[in-house]
Order: sequence, then structure tokens, then C-alpha cells
Amino acid sequence: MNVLMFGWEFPPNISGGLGTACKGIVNGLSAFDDIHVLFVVPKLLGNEKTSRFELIDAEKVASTEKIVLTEYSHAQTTLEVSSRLLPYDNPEEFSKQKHFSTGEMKQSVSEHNPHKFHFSGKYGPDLFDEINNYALVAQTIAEKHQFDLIHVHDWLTFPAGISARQISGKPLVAHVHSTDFDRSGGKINPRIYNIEKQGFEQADSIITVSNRIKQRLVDDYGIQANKITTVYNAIDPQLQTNTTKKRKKSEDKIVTFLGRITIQKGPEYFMEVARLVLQRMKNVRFIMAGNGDMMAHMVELCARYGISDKFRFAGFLKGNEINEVLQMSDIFIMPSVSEPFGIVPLEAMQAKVPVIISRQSGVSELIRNVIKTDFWDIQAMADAIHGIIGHRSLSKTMAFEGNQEVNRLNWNMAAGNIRDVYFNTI
Amino acid sequence: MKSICLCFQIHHSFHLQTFRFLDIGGNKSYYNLPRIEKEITESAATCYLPSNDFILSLIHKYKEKFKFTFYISGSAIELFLMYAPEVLSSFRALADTGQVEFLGGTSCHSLVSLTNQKGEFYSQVKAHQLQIENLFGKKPLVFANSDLIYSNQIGKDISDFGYRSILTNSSRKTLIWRSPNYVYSNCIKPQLQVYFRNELISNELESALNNLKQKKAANFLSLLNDLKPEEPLLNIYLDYLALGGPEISKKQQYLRKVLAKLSTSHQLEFIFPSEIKERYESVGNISSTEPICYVKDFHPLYYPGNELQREAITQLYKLKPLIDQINDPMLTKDWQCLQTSNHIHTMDHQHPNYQSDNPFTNGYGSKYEAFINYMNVLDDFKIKVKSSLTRKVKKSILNPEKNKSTARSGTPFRTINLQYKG
Repeated sequence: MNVLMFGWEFPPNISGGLGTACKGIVNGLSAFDDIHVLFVVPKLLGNEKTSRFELIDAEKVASTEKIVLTEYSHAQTTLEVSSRLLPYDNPEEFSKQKHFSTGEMKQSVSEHNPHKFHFSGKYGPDLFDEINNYALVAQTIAEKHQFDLIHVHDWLTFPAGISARQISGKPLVAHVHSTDFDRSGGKINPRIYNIEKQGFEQADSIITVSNRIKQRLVDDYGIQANKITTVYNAIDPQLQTNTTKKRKKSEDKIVTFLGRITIQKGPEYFMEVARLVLQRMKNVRFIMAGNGDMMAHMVELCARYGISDKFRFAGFLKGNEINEVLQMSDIFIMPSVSEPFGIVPLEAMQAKVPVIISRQSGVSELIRNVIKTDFWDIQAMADAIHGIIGHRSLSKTMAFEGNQEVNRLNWNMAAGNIRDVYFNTI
Repeated sequence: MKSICLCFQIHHSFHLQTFRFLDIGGNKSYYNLPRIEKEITESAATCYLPSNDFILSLIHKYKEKFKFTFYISGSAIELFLMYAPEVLSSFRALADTGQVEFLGGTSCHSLVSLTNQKGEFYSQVKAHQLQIENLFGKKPLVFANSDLIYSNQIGKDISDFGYRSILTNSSRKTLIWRSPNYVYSNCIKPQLQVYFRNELISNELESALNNLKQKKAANFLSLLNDLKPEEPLLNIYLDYLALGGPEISKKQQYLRKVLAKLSTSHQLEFIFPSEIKERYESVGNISSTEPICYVKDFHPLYYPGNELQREAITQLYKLKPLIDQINDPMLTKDWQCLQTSNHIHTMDHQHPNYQSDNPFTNGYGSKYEAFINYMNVLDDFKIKVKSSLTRKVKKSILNPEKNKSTARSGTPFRTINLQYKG
């Protein structure tokens, strides 16, 4: 079976979890002889490693002179996009992209061969333009290639998928990694909502990364549950066996929060938990790593609670820094208010760190060797921290069993489930 | 002639309530009394009372044909005294017919037999023996450990405590090729007879009762046809609650059918476990260095448990010398309630409550939370014990004579009532 897959980014050029998940899925699918994936991204930088499948650079594809599909033509106008539209971005990255102005974009389009489009492949301010151009290019690709099924990832690629479906008549599988409800904390952008809804409705099958998202599609988008299948994300096996923690017993234990400091991730609950724990325990230190619009508020809160001496802001972490922070942590906590999936707890488990997560995360449906609490239950989270630090047998058991559990996960298993969805769809 | 012992287990524990680390050192109660009360009153109304009436009617109707055996844990007895004393009266009525026997156990359904605290084990065994004798007028003669735990060492200890036979669960690892339907003896003390619960038949009967409409119920009846006539014994041991619930009258009918099937066969007769010793000689020694047990939904070789469970047990029994030294009835009572094996079971993923999707069935989301909660309670209890010890030491220095007379007064049950209801 030939699968035409539309993505938005591909490792190593990623700004969020979507690219990593796509890579995992495509690599996992390549293990099956009967699946051949044609992966399309808006822009390739040339450093992507693709030994086992084909990557297509949408920028290099000349658009045919077909008439633009009417349902998307109205979206051609330039739109001021608020920062909420940058689902995985950090503020620094966002400000950089601000320089990448609309004018420049238009210019680059016109300078090029008029039949080709220029893509930034980023979550930039011209997102809507790019999405629509991507949809146009998708038509060309759909005409030029032979395939049996179209697979798209999140709303950014939905228009491309719908175009390809209309041209080719092949079935469409929409893969939902998050919805606008999750990204915006409830204040949805109606335009994105419409694109999402249209994608869900036109799709022949839908894959969600958790039952939580599945329920969201049913409740908030009015989608029939019977065309939705949950396929949990996985994680690549750890390559290097990490060294054991070398820390003195007398040193403070470290509890880590890692994620964007936005309402979605529940940083204020983490702060409350820290305050509770520090009332009774002295040998604990809290680290909040990440950046986001609630950062200033968090610093203020930290000062107001008088726990600055035990609380550190590590800023935005890149690449290996995440791993380094996890290595030095004694507990990882993810008090997310709403998390479609949440991959970082799995990374923490790989690093043999005991994990506490909120029940409002998709990943909590998948794993069991962690402590799960409601995101608002700061008492329970504080209690879990106290227990893990106070009882070596517990931290050892959690680290060991969590590590074992996460090592059993792999993308091949997830890809197998996706393959089942493919065959049930065609 | 084949002999059948039909035994029912009745056990309840003092469920703990959510106890956060911030509660440590405060004055919060350990127990979830509303949940306990609900459990006891409901199971009394929907199972124990009507089932006892049913058993009583069977006894009256069929005279000496049927014999029933019950294991009632020490903690269940205390909970009945607190919330449903009429259950104990109805068991007493059963006992008075002479067609019902009670097994001995430990006073708090504890895991003390897994530790090296032989003294504590002895006093719990004696306490339960006394409890049963006081309530039902007859001293138990056959021992059924908490969760039917058995090992060579436990068998030896029990023999030392005066019991002559013990009931345990059958485990492939222990029996290997041997059948559970024979009498065996302890390999250290051969005078102690070891009886095995027939795991297959007992579990099948329990699941048949719980799935009356399905094929299982019919299958069980045909299973009884396959009993080997040359095997002398059949020990059926199941939870008495299996006989209760919404379908109670159908379940009673079904049990009546099973009993009728068993008794119409001339080769079968019902006996008490205490009669086994008079009738059958041991066919040989049996050795089990590892403990075997019967805990619903758990493997027979589940003990000594995982690291968390072992840690909890170790920390708990470390307090033993201090408890003895203080000899305060309130603290001793708490200490006993904390020993009940149910607390330890929740610290395992295998626990049935973690198998369902609903995380709120038992108040704990995982074995880790169960462990944390228990250790918080234990930490609080340690503080109580230590402060009580300091008070006691101070007191004894000030007034050595007076202190002696304050230790242990009144019946233990009175103190429980005061403590938990207040």
C-alpha cells in the first residue's frame, strides 16, 4: 500500500513534538513490507535522514495551473496571527519569526517561478497562507504520484489532505496530535476550529493520540466516535545507556517541571505543590524549565511564597539540555491541565526518574508505573513528592518499573495499529 | 467414600482513609469509617444474614447431611461488633446446630507469620482462638492462616502453638505432580496435617455463583462428575460474599443444586476439617520453603511480595518492641488494624482495583499511592508511639507504682467502640 503522508516538519528541523511523532510513525511503518510512505513536508533543509522512505519537498513541486479550490481561496488573504497559533514554539523563536515579514514572504513567492511556492515550514505569522499554498501543491503531488491512501497530521496539513483527497478520490486518514482547545486553553481560534472540523468531517478515518482527544472530537467537534481510533504515541528506544546519578546523599533532591510555562501545562499548580512540600521538607529543590507567557507571574508567585532559595527557573532547554536536566532530577512532574499526549514523562522514565503526571494527560492512559493525580490536587502531588523522596524503596521501584515499562514501548507497535487503521479504511 | 469440606471465608479490614504527609503529627483518624460501615452493613444485609438463614434452613431440612465450615477473621469479628453484631448472633445460631465449625486464624488477619516475630504470631493465634471460643462456644481445631499462607516454618510454628492441622491453598510449585485431594504432613513437624484447598473446584464454584447465567454454572456441575473416586478429600474454600448480592435467591438455588448433586452420590459425605485427622492418615510429607497463599486475583506464590510490600511489613514490625513496652490498648489496637494484609495487597498492581479503568474504586490510583498513604499513616503512628513512650518513661520515673495499674483495663471490644465511634 502506498501512503501519501503530509507533515509539517521533520527532524532534526523541528519546533515541537509533531515532527518527532511523524518521524516515529514513518520509521515504524517502514518496518512493514506492505506499506510504502511518501512523506511530504513544506520545506526540506537537506539534513533529514531518510533511508527507508521517500521525502518530498513541497517547495520543489511546481503547482499546476489548476483553479484554486473555492473553499480555500478565501483564506488567501494575509492574516495577523496571534501567538496562540504557535503551538509548540517558544517566545524567542516567535520573535525571530516576526522578522520574517509578510512582505518578504510575498516577494519570495513572486520572485520564484510563479508556479512554485516558497515555504518556511515554520509556525510563523503567515501560517494561513502557507497552509493554503501547501494545499495547492498537494493537488499537484496527488496527480503526479500513485498512492492508495492519504494520511495527514493536525490541522496545518488538513487542507492539503482534503485537496489531495478531492483530486485523487483516495481515502483520507486524519491524525490528531492536538486540537485547538488543548493549545489555547479553551479560547479557540474559530478559523483554526473550522479547518480542524472540516478535516475531521472529510476524513474517512481519524487517529487520535489518546482517548481524551477522541472524546474531545466527539464532544466539541461533533464527530462520530466509530470512525476514530486511538493510537498512542511511542518513544524511540534510548540509544546511550545513561550513567547513574552521582550525587551526594546530603544534596537536595530535585523535582523538575519541564514544559512551556503556559496555562495548559499547569505551572501554578507546580508552584503550589512546591510551597506545600517546602513547609515540611528542607532537602528539596524545585526546577521549572521552560518559557512562556506565565513566566513573569511564576517568578512573582515564587517571591511571594518566599521559596526563591529552593526554586530555580532554568529557562528554555534545547536538545540535550532536556536530557541533562532529567538526569539530575529525582522526580519529574507534569501537572498539565490539558495534555493531548505528553511525551516528556516517557523521556523521564527512560532516564530512570520517578514520574508524577496529571490524569488530564493522554499519556496517563498509556502508562501505569507513575503516580497519577488530578492537576488541581496539589495535596496529592505534594504527598507523592514527599513519599518518593522519603522512601528509597519507592523511588527505586518507580524508577526501575517505569524504565522497564517505557522500554517496552516502540513505534513499531504504534505503526502496526496505524497500519490496521489503513487497511480498515481502504 | 469421599469427604468434602465446604468452607467459607469472611473477612473485612479497617480501610485506611487518605492520609497526606501534611496530616502526619496531627490528630487525623487513620480509618475511612463511612466506607467501612457501608461495607459491613451492606454485606450483612445482602449476604451474611440471608445466607446464614439459608444455611440454617438447609441444616434444619436435611439434618446431619450437610456440614459447613467458616473462617471469620479477627478484624471482621471486630467490625461486626461495631456495626452489625446481629451477624455474629446469626453465626452463633448456626454454631448451636452442631453442623457448623469455625477455623482458627490470626486476630487481625495479619502477615505476622511472614516475619520472624514468633511471639507476636503466637499471641495473635491465641487471641483469635479465644475470640472464636467466646463467641461460638467451641475452640477451633484447624488453623487457617491469613490468606491461607503456609510454609514449612509457618507449619512448624502452628504445630508449636498447639494446632494439629492447617489448611492452605494448592500450588503447582508445592504439589508438583501430587493431588490436593489427599492429606499431607509438614516436613518439619510430621504430626501437623496439611490440607489443600482445591483451587480449581473452589474458583470454579465461586465464578459459577458470580456468573449464574453463563455456561460456567452448567460447566461446574459437570466438573463435579469428573471427581476421581479414589481421592479421599475435597476441600472447597471460597469467599462467603460469593453467595450474596442482588441475585441471592438464584445463587441459593444453585448452591442447593450443587449440594444435592454432591449428596445424592453415595460416595460423598460432608465432614468438618477437624474430622479429617480422625479419618485419614497423611500420605506423605510436603515441603514448601516459599510461602503459598490464597488471595483472590493473586497468584498462590505472590508472597513475600514486592519491594514496597516488604518495606512496609518491615517498618511495621520494627515497632513491635515499642508497642509491647508501652502496652497501651489504643495504640495496640491501631497497630493490629495496620497489620491486616489488605493494606499490603493494595501495594501491588495485580490488585483487582487497578485492573479496572476507574481509578477511584479503592481511593488509590496505583500501588505507589497505596504505599505512600500507608507509610504516612505508619509515620504518624510512629510519632504517637514515640511520644507515648516518652510520656510513659517520664511517668514511671515520677510515679513507678501508679503506672503498673494503668496498663490494660476493661475488655478490648469496649475500647474499640469508644475509639472508633468517638
